[in-house]
Amino acid sequence: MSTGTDIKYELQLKPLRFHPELAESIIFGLKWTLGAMFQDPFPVRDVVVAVREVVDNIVTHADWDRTPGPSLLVSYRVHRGHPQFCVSSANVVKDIDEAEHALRFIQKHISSKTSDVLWHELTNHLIDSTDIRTNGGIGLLQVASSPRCRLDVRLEGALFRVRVDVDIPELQAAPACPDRTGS
Amino acid sequence: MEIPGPFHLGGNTIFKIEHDLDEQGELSIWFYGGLVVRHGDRFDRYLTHLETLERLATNSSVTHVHCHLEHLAEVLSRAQHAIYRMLHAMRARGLPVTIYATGEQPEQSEHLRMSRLFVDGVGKQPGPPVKLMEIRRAS
Repeated sequence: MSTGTDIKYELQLKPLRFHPELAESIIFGLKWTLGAMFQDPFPVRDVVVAVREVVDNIVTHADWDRTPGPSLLVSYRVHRGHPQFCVSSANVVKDIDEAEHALRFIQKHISSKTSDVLWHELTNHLIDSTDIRTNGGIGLLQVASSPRCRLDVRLEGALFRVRVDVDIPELQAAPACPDRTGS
Repeated sequence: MEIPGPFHLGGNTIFKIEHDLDEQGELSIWFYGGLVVRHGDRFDRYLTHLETLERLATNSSVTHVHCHLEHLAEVLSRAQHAIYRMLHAMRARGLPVTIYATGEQPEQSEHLRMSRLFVDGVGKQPGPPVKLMEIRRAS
């Protein structure tokens, strides 16, 4: 029975394995793939940014020695004619106090606020405040500041979960090229 | 003060920062390539280099700062923020800052959006207004 959902793209990495080129390979691989899938790379820009920041969050804050290992899911589905992009991740944190601090920082800024307000808070925060080396949550806050992105961040014990839903109603796939031979 | 050399991130990336201080005291800074991983040591060197440029601008006879983002590619939010923090610190010392974010790549829409936000965000701060060159519309 049809659910009305058509999966167009799905990347699941579970568990991720630590490697120096892990972030580059995921981000640039996704970027090239989306670039090949769509005529115009600008509408999917928010997806690339979300993946970039989520992967950076994993690489920087995950405890790679504990189970479950970090995971990443990127999906593009069309549900009853509506495109749905989702980026989600889960990882055990290596510093729970730091994770709680980042969570409070993000929740404080995204709760009941519009994207315009978020942008200005983000600017003021980056200009006025603390050491950029240690302040967690900036990248995810930038993701949340896009009017197309909905960010959900949770800490379940030591498991840090991130989900970003990206709304791109105008999305159109690149036209098929029937004459291509693949050579 | 000692003039720093160009910055190269190293590894498999081409990310680099160049600058030039001319005889008229105009400091130009160019950013090239992408920076998508923090990798503790490398990212820390990046932040330290920006702080060195900030000191160069504020401790010498610099009259104007030109920041070129046209060749900046995929860059972490945190790395972008570090650039604007540096520029803000320069402006807070009364230096005029011009940002050039006029590239044609999708990444530039993000840099342009950040540039615009930075300009608006510091509009209420002391210092001369910032000129924002914009030849393309952000997505």
